[in-house]
Amino acid sequence: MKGFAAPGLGPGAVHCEALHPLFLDHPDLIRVAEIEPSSGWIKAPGPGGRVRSNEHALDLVASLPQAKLVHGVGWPVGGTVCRAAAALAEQKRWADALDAPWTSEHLSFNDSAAGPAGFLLPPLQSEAGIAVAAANIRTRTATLGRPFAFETGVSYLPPRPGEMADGDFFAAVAESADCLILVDLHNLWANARNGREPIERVLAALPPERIVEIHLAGGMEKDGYWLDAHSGPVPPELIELARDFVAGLPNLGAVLFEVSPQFVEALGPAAFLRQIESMNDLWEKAGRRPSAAAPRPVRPGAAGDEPSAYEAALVQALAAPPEPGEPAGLALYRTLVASFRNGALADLLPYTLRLLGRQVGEAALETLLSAYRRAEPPPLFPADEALAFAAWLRANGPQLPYLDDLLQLEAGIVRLVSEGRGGELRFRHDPSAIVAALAAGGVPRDLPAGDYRLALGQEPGGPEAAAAA
Amino acid sequence: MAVTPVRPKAPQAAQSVTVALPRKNIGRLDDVNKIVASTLGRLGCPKCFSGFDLRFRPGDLVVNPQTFEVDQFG
Repeated sequence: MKGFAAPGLGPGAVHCEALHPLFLDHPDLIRVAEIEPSSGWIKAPGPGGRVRSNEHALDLVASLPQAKLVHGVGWPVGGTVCRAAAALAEQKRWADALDAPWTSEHLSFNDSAAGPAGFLLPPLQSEAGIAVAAANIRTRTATLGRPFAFETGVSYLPPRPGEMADGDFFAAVAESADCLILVDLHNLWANARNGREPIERVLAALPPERIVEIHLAGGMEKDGYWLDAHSGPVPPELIELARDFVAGLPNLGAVLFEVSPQFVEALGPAAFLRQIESMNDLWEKAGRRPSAAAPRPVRPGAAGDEPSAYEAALVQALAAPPEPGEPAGLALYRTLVASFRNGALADLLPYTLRLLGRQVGEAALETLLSAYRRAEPPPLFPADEALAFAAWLRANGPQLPYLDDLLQLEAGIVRLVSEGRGGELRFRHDPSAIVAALAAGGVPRDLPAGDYRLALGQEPGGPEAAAAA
Repeated sequence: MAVTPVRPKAPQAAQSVTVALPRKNIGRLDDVNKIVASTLGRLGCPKCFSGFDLRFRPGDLVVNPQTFEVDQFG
């Protein structure tokens, strides 16, 4: 990949549904749309299930007037366990359809020999870790059939004794894999604020000609840490730092702003467009200064560390209760993992959670959710999370009036849609009456029992729907 | 039997499905359709970030009376 001349795509942002109208209305200001295909994917339940996506979703982003880049989220390249085969075929299909000049993913891991982590975690920064990442990247590049950039990740853990410095590790991975780099400046800025290395030192170690993409975002404080939350505007001091940094990048292709869909409304369209103006300003300054490309010699990494053992130990520590003397940052990771897992349930089983909260109380609901998380490892896809919780709740949860019917409705919809087939759901009570009572602020009472049925089919009019008639 | 096509509200979402009542004893099919549509839009992977997920917050759920979606705990 050395020698790859990145096309100058320009300034832009990561695309999401809430921002779609702004992408359509401001193509001159927003010149690049970074697409995260997996946000629209469905995975069939169970291990090894296939990944599929809505053709309408692909058509929709393909019709955007911007140049497109394709960014991966759930299949990082920094770990020893990469169960990516099913997803990468779909990622390649999207990258081909969108004619993305390069694709990117995180230099992190989210799976291990001890099971899935439920979050992007920092890889082992050693010679062995470099070899693992470089092998993954070479495979990923060949599979996707186009240049690949890894994203410099966030780490809420303190530096480990003997590990390679962050910038040295990034540089060594890029050289060993002969790949490109997506520098997420907010990640590195958060790392520095949280006690890792000064960001200037990290950036100075990176080979400038391999840097093709920059990410910028805002964050927030939590539990004494600065989170890479994509929750608002880029901090002004980070914009200043970025202005100096991009000036020395001779091969930059895109400067992108990221905001989480959860915070789009709070940010507002005017503030979003001001951020895009900042990206335009940065783009104007990119590559203006001759590169002082004299990478520092890479420090040897810690010998003796085994990446697989490191990953498994970290995942096991996150799944276990806090221990005295454990590394700072583990408690935060536990909180963040729990928030994502609860978020998936709140999205897909909202009325089930509401009935539970109303009937057993919020404290008992939190206890139930906590017990579930300890019992079941975190799946990657929200549908698997919802179905696992439904099964666990049926086996271990309280016996509450109408809970079975509500689970049958919400988990049944998730299951049938995930499996991509039609089917019939049966209830002992009218599910619409249960939901209406909950929506009205109460709990369902005294509903007549009966044989209630609902059929879901594939549009237009699947065979199951017809058979049910 | 009425067969209702239900489309996801989010453009990047699951395929549309149809919802039908084999027996006409479910009172508010439209409400069920809204739940199906909401589910279709929420099956994908979360977007890329390493922050705190706000979709679940302790407290009661807030329901949007127009869309019939549960917006948040709050």
